[in-house]
Amino acid sequence: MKYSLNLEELKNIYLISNTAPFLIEKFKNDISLQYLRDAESISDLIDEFKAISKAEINSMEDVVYAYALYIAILLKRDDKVLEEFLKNEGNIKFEWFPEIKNIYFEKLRPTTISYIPLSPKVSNKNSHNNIRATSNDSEFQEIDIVC
Amino acid sequence: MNLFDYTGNKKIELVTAKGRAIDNYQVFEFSAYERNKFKDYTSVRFPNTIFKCSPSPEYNCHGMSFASRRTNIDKSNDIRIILNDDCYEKIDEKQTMIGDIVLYVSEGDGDIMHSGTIVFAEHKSGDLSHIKVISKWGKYREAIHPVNETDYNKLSSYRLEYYRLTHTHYEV
Repeated sequence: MKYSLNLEELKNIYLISNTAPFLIEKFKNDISLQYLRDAESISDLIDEFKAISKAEINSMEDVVYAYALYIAILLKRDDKVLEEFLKNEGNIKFEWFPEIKNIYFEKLRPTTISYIPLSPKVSNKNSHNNIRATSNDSEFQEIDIVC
Repeated sequence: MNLFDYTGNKKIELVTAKGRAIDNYQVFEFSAYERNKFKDYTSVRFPNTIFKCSPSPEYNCHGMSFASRRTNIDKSNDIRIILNDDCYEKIDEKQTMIGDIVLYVSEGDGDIMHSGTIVFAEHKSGDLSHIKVISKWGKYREAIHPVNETDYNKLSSYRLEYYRLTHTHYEV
């Protein structure tokens, strides 16, 4: 195991988890996992996950380490890199890996922001599209919004 | 075995009273070493809890509450289907009796993170420690505990829901 994580605590969480959302929620709040997510680059985390996913699982600790890395990678929320990563590693069928992937797509994935170009429109200041906002409050200045 | 060797979770045939299939899975066994390692996991943190049986990944809390300790059920939608098809009725905390079901529901995403069966209910105003539950804690052991003494109560935002089997679909 390349990275240092609070595996004893993470094992306790894994041990009592009944559902994947609970596991994610508790892992997300673990300080060692948050540190790992922030301190390491996504490519390093992916390299480590690829290495351990092909290695023999001998203990619960190995499983917990794999879950921790997987969740840390998804929490990076780098959509382009993750798309490539999940093409292969997204096929892992072990226990909660498929559901964690689904939860990423449904809830963790960053919302796509689309920029819609709008051309400015100039109208006559006295036309009916002219909206005037006023306030008696001295903090607010009278403004004109021209649609 | 590595993570890619695993071809899918083993399932058993499990249906509701109305015949709808319920997704479930049975997972690998712990080694004896790991069973022993977790022997004393909770004895300090949960002083009012009695643990029984060995740790076992073969069934989880929902598998214990709704599938006779034979498998794991982990999808909240499936639990809701069981509650509906098996004719469970939501009840108030004050109405709870032995044999009723309690669900621990995350307020954030509605995940039913835990369930158990009530084994003792004495209704004192605002004091949940007088409701006791038997439940399975994930892959760990079965526990008899106050309804508010678990790790599932430690999420920032959750609610308890209580249900009773009514069998109304059998009424003439």
